Amino acid sequence: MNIEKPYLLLFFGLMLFLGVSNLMDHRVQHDFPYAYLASDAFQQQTRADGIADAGNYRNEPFYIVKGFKDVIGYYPPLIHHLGILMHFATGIPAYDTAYFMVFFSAILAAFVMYIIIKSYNKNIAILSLPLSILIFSDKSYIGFVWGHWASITGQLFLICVFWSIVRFEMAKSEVILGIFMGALALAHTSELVYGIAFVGLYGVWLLSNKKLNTKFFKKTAIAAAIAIVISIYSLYIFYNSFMVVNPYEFEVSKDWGGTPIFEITDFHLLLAFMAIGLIAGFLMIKKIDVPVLAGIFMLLVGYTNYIGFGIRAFQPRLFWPIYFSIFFGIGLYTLIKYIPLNSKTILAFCLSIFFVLAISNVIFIPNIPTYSKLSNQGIMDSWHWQMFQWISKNTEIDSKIYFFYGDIYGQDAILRNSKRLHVQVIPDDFIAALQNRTVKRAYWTEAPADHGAGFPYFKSFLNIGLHLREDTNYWLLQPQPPYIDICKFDYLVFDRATRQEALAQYNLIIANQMIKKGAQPVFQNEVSIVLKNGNVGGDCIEEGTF
Amino acid sequence: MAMSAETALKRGLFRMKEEIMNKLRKESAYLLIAFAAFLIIFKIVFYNESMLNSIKISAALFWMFVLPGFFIMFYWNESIDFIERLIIGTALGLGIIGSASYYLGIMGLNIKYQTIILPLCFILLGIWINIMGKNPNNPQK
Repeated sequence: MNIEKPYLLLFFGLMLFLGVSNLMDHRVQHDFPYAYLASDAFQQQTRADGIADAGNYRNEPFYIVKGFKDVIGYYPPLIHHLGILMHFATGIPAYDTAYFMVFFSAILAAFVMYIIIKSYNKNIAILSLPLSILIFSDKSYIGFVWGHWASITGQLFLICVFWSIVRFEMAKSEVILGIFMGALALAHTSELVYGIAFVGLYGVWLLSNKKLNTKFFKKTAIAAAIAIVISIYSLYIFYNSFMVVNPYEFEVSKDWGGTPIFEITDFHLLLAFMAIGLIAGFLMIKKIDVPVLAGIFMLLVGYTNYIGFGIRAFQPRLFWPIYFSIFFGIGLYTLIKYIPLNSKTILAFCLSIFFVLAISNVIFIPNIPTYSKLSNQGIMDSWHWQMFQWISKNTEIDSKIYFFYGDIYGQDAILRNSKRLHVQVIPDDFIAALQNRTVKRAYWTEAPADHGAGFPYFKSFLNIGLHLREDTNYWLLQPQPPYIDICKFDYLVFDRATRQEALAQYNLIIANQMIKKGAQPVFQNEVSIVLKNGNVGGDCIEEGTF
Repeated sequence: MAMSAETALKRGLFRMKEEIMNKLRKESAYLLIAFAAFLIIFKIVFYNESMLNSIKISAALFWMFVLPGFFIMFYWNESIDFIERLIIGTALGLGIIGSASYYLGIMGLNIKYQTIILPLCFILLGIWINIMGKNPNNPQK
């Protein structure tokens, strides 16, 4: 009896359950962005929402880029489009469907790796499968809930590039390689670099085995041409924006801005099997070349933080459990192949199930890394969501919004849900003013935005300028942190519930001083009040002490 | 009477198309089973989600990504088995539909109108490739 298909189906269900369902309260649709744990996740969500609203990604939503309305859509767009298509097809909010598609891509990546390994040896593939569960272990899980969505989707297509190399001898395979390379470029550019490097590495491998021929060059040239056609527009924007603002610099980086970094030692005891697999893999490399080369390659890529790749080296580590599953599979296979049994396949399935249970934390084995159950509604709550929705639907499109202190606003991309040009008070100055018992008209203020690409815009045909470099007199591009007059703003948002009660009370004192000068409460619920400034540009607040 | 080369070629092509269509019909049944299995698993895993939403999500995934990729990958049906084509085809579907959606949006076709048109185009393209294209993996045909 062939149990492979039902086993794969069950494993797929398990991955969905562990990775997505547990996190999302066992449903896809929510009343607000659910299980978003960091600013970058909101960055992806608000961009997807903005694209859905516009119906295209010709331009960046203006509230992401400090109000500039001509900024070209510069971010790798693929994951957003997948989520938006699902949104329009199902009627489920884009913040849920885009998030779901990230997980779907990651789980699919595990299965593509399974297919790659199976092309060489089915038993090794079955044994390798359980390790993929560790993409939902604590440090890898961060990639999903903290918003590294583009990289995750990019890595799916990177693994698909590995698959294309496995099938490179197949007729017309260059077409698939080209499509995957193009999709990879639109998913996340840094993984494209790894994809190109791997194809080059494979060429060197063929050369060292005296198998390199003109056919390889012909096929890679056709694949490259297809990939260029698919990605040229996006890459052109990337080259003239992100690469200008963030040129490559050699540096040794061991820090990911507070993000936990996946280390090789995080595999703990499983590292023993993987080490056996790595050694055996070297010995079997002529038989199982692509997955072994890919595993070694991604191990090295994970350490390119020492040659200047920084964050772009840490992101591939999120998928190490998938890349290294080949070594885990070979390691286990090396151990069982000497057991005198007629059917190695049954033994492989039994062992695979055992490790699925162990890694899923169903059976406890000390020193084995396991899936980390995460069940958390995240930073957003229904009251703040209600406030953001109100602003986005009831204020004029050109309104300027000022956010006073709120516990969740530190993850500043959440503010983009207002879909309006926005700024927020800098807590240090706000707290200092509270300690001085003063109410002021100007506070230290920041205008959070996505500066990464320098706000690119088309000056003329194919001529890209950068607002960040050219419009330095723009009021929101002044050196930070400037004092900004709150009376310039059309709406002001005050949280009335904060972890430290004094901060909320101070918010309400400021709000009251504005109401005395004619501001009107236009929205309020349990956590927030929105005031409409009745005297924009004038004397909108009664300054003084309290 | 000796058959002309042209007639023989036409008959050969007709037989090939018939074989392709037969296999496609057979594998369509597998796809239906895969869809049913996916829907059941989805509903079990997301047990708090409504049945209607579970059907919509499963159907949308299959319509927009699984089917376009599968029909294109069918071109290699003689060298790649069903499961591999299903998995790689789904990834291919994500790649081509996502990329095409981006460019069509920029060219002026609102994304909201793409959910029917785009997958349909790629499904038809896949069928056309299979009917018109001679599979080089099977040179005797």
